[in-house]
Order: sequence, then structure tokens, then C-alpha cells
Amino acid sequence: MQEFPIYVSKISKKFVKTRGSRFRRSRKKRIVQALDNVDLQVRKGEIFGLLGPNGAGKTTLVKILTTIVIPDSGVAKINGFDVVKESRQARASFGATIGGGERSTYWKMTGQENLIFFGRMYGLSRKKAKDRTVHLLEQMQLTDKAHERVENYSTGMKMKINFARALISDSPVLLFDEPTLGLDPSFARDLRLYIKNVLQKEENKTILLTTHYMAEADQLSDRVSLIDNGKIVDTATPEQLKLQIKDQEVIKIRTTDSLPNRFLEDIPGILEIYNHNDSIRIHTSDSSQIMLSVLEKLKEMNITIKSIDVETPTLEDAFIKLTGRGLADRKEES
Amino acid sequence: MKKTINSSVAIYPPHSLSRIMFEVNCAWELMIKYWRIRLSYPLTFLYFVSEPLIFLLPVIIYGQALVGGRESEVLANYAATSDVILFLTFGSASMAILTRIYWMGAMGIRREEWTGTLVSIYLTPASRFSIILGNTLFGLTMSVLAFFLQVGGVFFLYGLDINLLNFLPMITILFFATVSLLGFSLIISGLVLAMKQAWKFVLFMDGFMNLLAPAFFPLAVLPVILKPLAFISPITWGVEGFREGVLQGFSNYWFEILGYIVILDFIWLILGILVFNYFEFHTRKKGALGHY
Repeated sequence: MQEFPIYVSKISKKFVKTRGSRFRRSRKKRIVQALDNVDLQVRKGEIFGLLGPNGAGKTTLVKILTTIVIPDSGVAKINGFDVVKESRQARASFGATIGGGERSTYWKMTGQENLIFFGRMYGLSRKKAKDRTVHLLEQMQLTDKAHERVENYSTGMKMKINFARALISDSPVLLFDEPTLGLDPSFARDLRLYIKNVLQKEENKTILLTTHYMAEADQLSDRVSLIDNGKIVDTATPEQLKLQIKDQEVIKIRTTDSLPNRFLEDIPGILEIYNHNDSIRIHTSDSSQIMLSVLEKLKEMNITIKSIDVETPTLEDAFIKLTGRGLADRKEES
Repeated sequence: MKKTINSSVAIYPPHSLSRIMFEVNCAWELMIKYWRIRLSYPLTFLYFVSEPLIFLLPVIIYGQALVGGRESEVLANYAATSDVILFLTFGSASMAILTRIYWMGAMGIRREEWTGTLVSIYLTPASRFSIILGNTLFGLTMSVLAFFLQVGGVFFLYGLDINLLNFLPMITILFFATVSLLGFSLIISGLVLAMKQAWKFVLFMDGFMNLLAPAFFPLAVLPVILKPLAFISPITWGVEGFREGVLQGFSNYWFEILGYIVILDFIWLILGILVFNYFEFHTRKKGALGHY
């Protein structure tokens, strides 16, 4: 019996990026370290969140686990099968969505035809594939669209059928890369509930999900790894991560304009500042002590305030404390 | 023996009969899928099926004008028939079938890249070879349909004197030539995966192999400089064997051709697997799978 259905040990991956025309001498190559000695073990029946900003290496890790990308070094196993040496067996053990996936199914085929086709590609009998298809279409609220071509589906429905595609094989391990990206809020909420209540609690699936939505990781994950610049910064339960900054308060200020960097640094009592476009998060041990100074500084700079809130720390704040940057910060996706 | 993993999905041991059956099944499902998609474009489908006949008719008219009728003594010296129409029809028909098998196989991976579904297919446990085989089967079935339309059309317009029993040697050649073409398609698919723009190479090779194929001329009249290339092209021997089968049945020359094709099958298939595996590995290493 494999202890960890998803096992990652010392995985590293570099990509060579080139810029400029291949016919020019000025063409520049640079090495991007997408993953750097990543370790990660997911227990059976666990939902494990991989939380990090765009370009942190989340998708690269999922692509390695799904055998789409070969790592430079390290070992990754799905259900006990090495994703490089036993890739076919590993692929039979998981269902996965990668990226948005709007184009991951055949638009000229109906939703039902797509799901049956993919079921057959996993070796399901025609009857089993059809039964699973009917069940999943019902779960995704697409029964009445079963015989319509996917090209006529809305974007949200295309995402649903892609999600159903990942579930068609009824595999014990599920890998979801940004599963709610692009979904309308109502279905995103339903999908989160489905992942938690049906896939985890009823069907005991082992699930790795990547997200840059802090609330999603917080709501769904039993444990979370924070990833930044290809490195796992910390792994713990969401509660444990938040406990690291339990003595802190967060002042969240939204303004009408973008804010300059470091303009609050000289105010004593501020532990951490995260400035992103028109919002700023200030970590402090006592919000009442610094509030006045902050407001005066904003007034002095002629900045109009849209809202001010004092919040208890979130996972994002734990991320800021550990990495010095927020989840909305962008880096070139690797 | 199946090892199940707490789900309905089975993991087939390598080199087992169950694994082979699974892969054949996948190729079959892929073929059905391509048919579904192709039939969703009825005009394109009609074009592809009728194109070989439309392409052939001017060639027949030109051939007749050139020899001043239907029979040619000069042709009889080089080929197993003096009937220009019979010669051209089965030369063209066989070339159309074989070219389409090669074309569909080679372009299968690229087409999945274009539609954005390559990664979805790659996530399933199906072998990459089954993906290309599925495409090849689609090319084969579609071109067989086109073949009947083409030969039926010429039969209707001009009449053809053929022995239906000779379809057996024809099908045998078609089967063995398909194996070589599958190997050839694997090479091109590997190149296309790694270099993206390499699908232009598919077009080039298509034209070049058609030039070498003795569809509209006897192999003997091919310029000497091109003969070595023609000898290693599976389409050359496919066309030659196909037509020999129709005209002469299981003749000595037919067996000679079959021997050539079987040797080419080994060479092209092994080379195809090696080249495809090499390029596929490097594409995954670069993280470029599914890019286009």
C-alpha cells in the first residue's frame, strides 16, 4: 500500500527562455528556475492546496505530475508509479485539469460524446463510460445540454465539461490546476462544495489543487504548501499558517489611485506592508496605534481613500510574511 | 492480468494481450472521433471523398490524347497492361489511398495541437502510437471510400476490365504498405512535435513521394537519379504492388514487391518509433507539448 498517493521529492526544473528573432545575434537566452528542490507528499483522502502567485511554479509541478513535462532531477510518483519511468501507469491513476481548459474537449462533438470518448480512452467499457457520463453530466448540471455540440456551450459550460472529463475515469488521484479560474462565482462555489463534499468526503479521492485564490485554498485544503519562485516556502494546515501571524492585525486600505512604494516605511509599529495597485495591506501588532499616522500620511500625499478595514490575518498575509510579496504579484509564467 | 487501483480504471501490464487490446480500442475510438468531427463538416467531407476522382479525370483525358486512344503498345512494354485508363486509374487510386494514410497519420498530432486537445489526449493512459494509429485508420477508411468512388466513377464513364478476385492481393499490399507509412508518419509526427513548423515538411514530403510514386508512369521510366529515393519510399512500392495485384493477381513480381515492402516495414517502423520517442521526450523536457 502506497503511503502517499502523490509523492514529490527534490523535483527541480529549469526552462530556457529566448527573446528576439532566432536570426539575430542579439537573441538572448536566459534560464528560468521554475522549480527548485520541491518536496511534497499528499496523504490518501487529503485535499492539498498549492498556493502561490502566477509564475510561482504551480502549473509546472502539475505538468510534471501529469507526465506532460519531464523534470531535470528528483522523483515524482502518482499512486506509487514514477511519472517518468512508469508514465503510462501513472496516467491511468489520475484525472486532471490543466489551466483553464476551455479548449480541452472537442467542440464539434457533443458533451456526451466527449465524455464517452475520454472514458473509453481510459479503458472503461462502453456501458461504464456511458453510465459515468450520465452521472457526471447530472452533477455538472449539463444533462439538458448533453446532446449539444460543445461549440454551442458558454465558456462556463465548457469549463464544466472539462472538469467532468477529469472525473470520467473515476481515478483515485485528482490534480486540478486552478479549477475555478474563469468560472462564474456561483458555479465556482458549487464546484468547491462538490470537491469537498463529494470527491473528498464521499469518494475519498486524493486531491492536489493549485490556486492563487487564497480563499479557495483556505476553504478546501486540509494542508497547504506556499510556493514562490519555484520553492516551497512552508507547508502546514491553513490554521497553522495563519497562527504564525496570530498576534497581528491587518489594515486594508483601498484608494482611488495607485500608491507609491515604501511611502509608509518610516511609520513606527508597521511590521509588513504589501502594496498592490490601488490597495495596501499593513501588518501591525496594534492597528489603533498606527492608524492615525497612516491616515495623516495619505492626506499629506493627497490620496483619496475608498475604504479602510481592519481584518484578522488571512493565508495571503501568511504568504506576505513568508515571501515579502502577495499572491496578486505577477511573474512571467514558466 | 489487471491490477485495479481502487477505481474502475485498470492498469494493464506492458506487453500483455489486455494492453494490446486496450491500445487497439483507443485507436478505434480515435478513428470514430475523427469521423464524427469530419462528418460535422459535410462539404469538406464531400470534397475529400470526391477529390481523387476529380483529380484523375483530366489525367485520363490527357493520357488518351497522348497515346491517341485507350491502348498503348509502348505502355505494354513497361507495364502489365496496354490499357492507359486501367493503368492510370489504379495508379492514381493507390497513390490517393497511400498518400492520405501518410498525411492523416503525420498530421494527427498537429491537428490535436491546433484544436487544443493534445494535452487532454496525452493525459489519458493511451499510447502515443495509438493516437497516430487512430489517425492512420481514419485516413485509411476515408481513402477506401474515396477509392470506391474514384474507381466506380471511371468504371461508369469508361468501363474497366478487372477481375474482382484480384482485390485480395491489392488489399494485402495495402495492409503491408500501411505499416511502412505508419513508421513514416511517426517520424514526421516527432518532427512536428519538436519543431512545430515542421508540418510544412509533411507537405514537402507529400509532394516528393508523389513525384517518386509510379502512379502516372511506369517505374522503369523514372529518371535514374531519382530511382534510389523511389526504392526507399513506401508509396512507390505500394502503388506498384497495388496495381500489379489488380492487373496480374499473385504474380512473381507481386511477391517481389511484397518482399520489398516487408523489408521497408521493418526499417520505417523501427526508425519511426526511435525518432518519435526521441523528439517526444525532448519536447516534454522543454515543456513545449501542446504549444503551437
